[in-house]
Amino acid sequence: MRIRYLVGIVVAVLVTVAYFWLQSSELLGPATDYVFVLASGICSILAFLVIRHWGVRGKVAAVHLGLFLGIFLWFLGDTAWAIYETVLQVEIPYPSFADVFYLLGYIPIAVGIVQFLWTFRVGLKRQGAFVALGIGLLFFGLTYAFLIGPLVVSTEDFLTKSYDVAYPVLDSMLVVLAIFMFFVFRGGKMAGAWVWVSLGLLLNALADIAFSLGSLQGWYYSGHPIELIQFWGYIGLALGLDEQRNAPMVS
Amino acid sequence: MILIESIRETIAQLLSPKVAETLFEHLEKVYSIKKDEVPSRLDKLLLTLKTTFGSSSAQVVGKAIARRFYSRLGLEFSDNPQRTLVGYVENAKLTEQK
Repeated sequence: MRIRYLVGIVVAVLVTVAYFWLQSSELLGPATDYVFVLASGICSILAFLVIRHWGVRGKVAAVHLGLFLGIFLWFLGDTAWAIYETVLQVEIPYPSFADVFYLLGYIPIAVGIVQFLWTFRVGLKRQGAFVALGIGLLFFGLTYAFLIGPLVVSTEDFLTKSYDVAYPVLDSMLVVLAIFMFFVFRGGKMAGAWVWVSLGLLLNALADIAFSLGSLQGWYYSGHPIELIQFWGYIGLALGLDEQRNAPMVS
Repeated sequence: MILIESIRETIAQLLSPKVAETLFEHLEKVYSIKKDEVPSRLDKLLLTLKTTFGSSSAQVVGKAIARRFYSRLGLEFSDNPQRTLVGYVENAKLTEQK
């Protein structure tokens, strides 16, 4: 087993244990907030190193640049969230300025991948398209099944309700794009990295559905164990980025 | 030379200039194919692209190289799904000889 996977598993286990261990502690909110700042910060650094490794020109570079910008915006979102909670003492800063960063993050990632896929679209087989779109539809279905009922009865304002739906939908879109990337590189050395990126985004999508449901039904609190799904998602992203960072140009 | 330039430019544009650079070094190191010998060993070039980026991507890159090569030669490029880069280059040679 490669060292990066071992590190990923150890970090995932340690943070999971810490989450449950801190549940009744006052440190729960701040500690978990800064764990996310650290996770997205590390992912940003790894995404930057991917750009350094592959260069800044060419279609692949646009994908890497998009990933870096998007993840960096998520890092800014996580930082803003942590500042709201720990400095400004806002219990659950949702919706807030942090959401601006979170939502903006989807744009460069999607643009980078779409412009690459546009060039390589003829290489996409029907089977790959079905799998990617099927998983995307599954997430749309999950979003609809879990959120539509609570949304109808919720007293949340329109903006919050819009965010509740927007996140899982945007996540599903990124999952579909990442799976397309996997199918473009399928059979090559680059495919493995995209499995991890897809898995990371998939967990992110699940976490956002759970977060939206939790805030709609009022059971979510800062440091709730459902946040772990998102943390594991960051680990998936980090593993994928680290693989791309170390991948040989040709083999 | 036109084919080598077409390969370099296409890979630099579609993937990355670093990939194009490393590709020629890799072919020389692993298969002892010098840069000017690449046009006669396109099978190894395609194999390397396939191993690294997968068969779908290798196919797309191969076709893009052929398209650029034909354009440089002033030949009309007609897409043939069954044809690989090797086939396109052979076809270009035959068309040039006529």
